[in-house]
Amino acid sequence: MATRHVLCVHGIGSHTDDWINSPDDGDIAFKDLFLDRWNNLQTNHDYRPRHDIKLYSIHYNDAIERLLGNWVEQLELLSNRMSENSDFQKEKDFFDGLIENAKPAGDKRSFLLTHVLDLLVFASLYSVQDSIITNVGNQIGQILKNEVDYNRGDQACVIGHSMGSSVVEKTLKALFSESVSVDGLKFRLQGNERLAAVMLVANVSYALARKRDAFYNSIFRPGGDEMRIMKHLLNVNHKLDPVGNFKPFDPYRHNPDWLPAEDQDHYHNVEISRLSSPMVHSINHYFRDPNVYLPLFEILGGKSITKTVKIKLRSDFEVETPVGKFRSARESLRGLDVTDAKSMKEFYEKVKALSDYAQEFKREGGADHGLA
Amino acid sequence: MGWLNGFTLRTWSLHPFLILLLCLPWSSSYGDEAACRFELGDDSTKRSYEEAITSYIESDCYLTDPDEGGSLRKEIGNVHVWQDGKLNYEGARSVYRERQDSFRKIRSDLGVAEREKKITQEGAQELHTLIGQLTSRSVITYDRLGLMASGRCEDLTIGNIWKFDLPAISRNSSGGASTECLGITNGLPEFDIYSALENACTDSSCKDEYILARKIANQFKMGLLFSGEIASEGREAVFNSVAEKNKLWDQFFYESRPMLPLDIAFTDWIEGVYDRPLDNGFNVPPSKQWFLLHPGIGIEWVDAAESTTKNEIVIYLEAIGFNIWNEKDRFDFPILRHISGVSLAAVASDRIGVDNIGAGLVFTINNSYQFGVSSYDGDVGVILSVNFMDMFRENYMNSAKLLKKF
Repeated sequence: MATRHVLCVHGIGSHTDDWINSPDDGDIAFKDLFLDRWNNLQTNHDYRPRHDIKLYSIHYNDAIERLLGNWVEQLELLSNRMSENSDFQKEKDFFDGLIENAKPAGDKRSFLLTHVLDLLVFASLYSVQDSIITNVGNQIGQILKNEVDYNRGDQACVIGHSMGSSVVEKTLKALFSESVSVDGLKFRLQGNERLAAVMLVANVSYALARKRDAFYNSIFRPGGDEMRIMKHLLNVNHKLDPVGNFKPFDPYRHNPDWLPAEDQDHYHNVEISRLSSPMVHSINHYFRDPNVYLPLFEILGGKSITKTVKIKLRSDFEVETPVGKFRSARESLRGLDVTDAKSMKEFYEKVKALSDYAQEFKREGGADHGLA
Repeated sequence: MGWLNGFTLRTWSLHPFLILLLCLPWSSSYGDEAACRFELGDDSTKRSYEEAITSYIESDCYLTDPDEGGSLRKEIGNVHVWQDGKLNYEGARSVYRERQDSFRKIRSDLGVAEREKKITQEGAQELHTLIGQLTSRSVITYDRLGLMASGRCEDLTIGNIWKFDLPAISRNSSGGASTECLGITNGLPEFDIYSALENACTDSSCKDEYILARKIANQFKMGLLFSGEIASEGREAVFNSVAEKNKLWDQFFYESRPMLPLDIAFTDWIEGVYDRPLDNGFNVPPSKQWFLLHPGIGIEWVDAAESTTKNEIVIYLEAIGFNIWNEKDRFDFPILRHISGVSLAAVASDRIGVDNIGAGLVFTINNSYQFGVSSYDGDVGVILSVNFMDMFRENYMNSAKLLKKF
C-alpha cells in the first residue's frame, strides 16, 4: 500500500529528537494521539483510506541547545581562566552571573531559556536561522530520498507547529528552490517533486517572516499545478491561542489574488475555538479537535470522509469540551423536575462535572498554556 | 512487492547481473508474482475490483504481467537514461514515444470492449478520459526532452508530470521553469488516477474492466518509473547539496572560531546576511566571521615589566576583527594561508613597571591559536592564546604551564 509520510516539525521549547513519541498535553505522545484518531476512523467509522501513514520527528531544538551550550562553555572557560588572577575577580563575577542565568535550574531550563531565548535566537540571528533551516531541510531531504517510494505512489506531508511553522515555511521555500546543475540543465525540486500537503498549526510564519512585504509572493503556495510545491496548505489556528493570532497568516487580506480560482480549494483555513484542555497552544490540544485532523486525514487517506461521520466525531468531541459540558448541564436544567429524585441527581452530576472540569482548567492553566 | 524497491534503473545499468536477471524467464521465485492478481472472476464485485486495481497500480506487478511484463522488462533493460552523467535524450524520448503507441492500442482495445458491451458507456468514458490524460502526458514529456536536447530549454522539469495525483500542467504556471520549457500549447487539468480507474466499473462484473485498467496501469507505471529516473540525478544532487551546506554550517559554528551572540549579529550585519533571501535555495555561511568586543584570555610576555610580572595572564578584548574560517577562502601563499584572522584588541593586565591598558594586533592561526603583539605606551608585549573550545582546555593548560616554567 502506498504510504503518506508525515514529517512533523516541533514548536518552541524543549523537545527531544524523537519528540513525537514523548508525552505531551494529556500525557499522551503526539504520535499516539494522531494514530489513535486515524485508527478510530477505520475501526469505528468504516473509513477505508487508500494509503498507510508513517510519522517522523523532525527536530531543531538540539541545534539551538548546542549553540546555547557553546556560548555557556565559552563563558565558563573564560571565567575559569580568570580565576587564576585575582585582579580579574570583578570581570569573573560578571561572567559567572551570565553563566548562572544561562544554565538549567535543576533538570529543567527556565521558561525564559526554553522559549524566549530560542525565539530570540531564531528570529534575530539570521545565521543561526539559516543553519537551523538547512539542518531541517537536510532531515526532510533524507526522508524524501530514502523513505518515499514514488513508484509505489508514496507522498510526503509536512506539519509544523508554532515556531516550527516558520521553520517549515522557510525550509520548504529554500529546499524547493535549491538549484543544481545536471548535464548542463538546471534542476530544482520545484516541478519535480511535490508535497501532498503542508499543515501549519498555530502559524507564526508571517510574524517571523524575513520580509513581510514580499512574504506572500513566494513559491509557498498550494495548488493543483505541477509547479506548485504542495497540493494542499492547511493553516490552523485556535481563537484563544495568542501565538497564532499575533500577525496571523492571512494571505487574501494582503493579496486577494494570492491563488487563482482553480487553486482556491487547495487552501484550507481552519480556525477552531473549542477547548479540550488548558494547554491551548499544545499540538495535542489542536489535534484532539476533529475540525483539525479530519481535513488532513481526508488528504492523507485519499478518500473523503462521510458527512455523517464528521458530524458524529464533532459532536463526540464537543461533549468533552467545557462548552459541551455546559450545554449538557443546561439541558438537564431544562428537564429538571424538583419532584423527581432521578432528575435532581442527574442535574447535580452534570453541574458537578462542569464544576470539576472548570477547576481542572484553573489548576492546570499554568504559565505556559501548552507552550512547553 | 518489495523485491524491486531500492533498485533504480541506474542501479540496473551499473549491474549487468541485474540486467541478466531481467532477461531470464520470469517465475514466482524472482518476485512475489503470486500476490499479483492479473485476472478477476466473473463474479467480482466493485469493491473487490477497487481493491485489486489499487493494489495492482501501487505494486511492481506490471513487470510480471503475463501479457506484457516481458516486453516492459526488456524495455527497462535496454534504455539507460543516464550514461556517465549524461542524459540519454533519445533513449528517454523513445520511452514516451512507446507509451503513446501503447495508449493508442489500449484505446483501440477499449473501443472493442465497448462495442461488444463488455464495458458500459460510462465506464468506457472514464477510461477514455484517463487514456487521453496519459497520452497527453507522454507527448508533453517527449516534447520537453526534445526542447532540452535542442538546448532551447535549460530547466529539467519532468518529475511531477507522472506523479500518482497527476498535477495540472499549464503554460500559465506558477514559476520555476521558463514558459518555453513547459513546451505545450494546451494545458491539462489535474486528474485523479485512482478515481478514474475505480469508476471504470459500473456494471455487475468488473472482469473486463480490470483487464483494461491493468493495461493502463502498466503503461502509467512505465511513464512514472522513467520520469523518476530522469529526475533522479537532479534529486540526488539537490539532497547532496543540502547535506553539504548543512556540513558547512556545522563547521562555521563548531569547527571554526567560537562566536558569541554579538559576534554572530555583527557578522550577519557586515556580511549582509539579513538581506539574503531564500529564493535561490539554502544560504551558505558567510566567508568571514566578524568579532566585536569579543573577550579573550592569553599569556603575555612584556620584557619591560619587572621580572616577576613579565609573564602574566591578561584579558584582551578584540574591539573588532575577522576570521576567514574556511581555508579555501584564504590567501594562497605558503605561510599566509595559515593566518585565518586579524583583530584589533585592547589588553588589560596588572604589572609593575608598565601601564595597565595597552593596545594590540591579534592574529588567528588556522581558527585555533591566537598570537598578538601589544603595546603599553611603547612597551611591547607578545600575547599567546588558543581557541577556547578546541585547544584551550588541554593544550593551553599544558602550554601555559610550560611557558610559566620557561
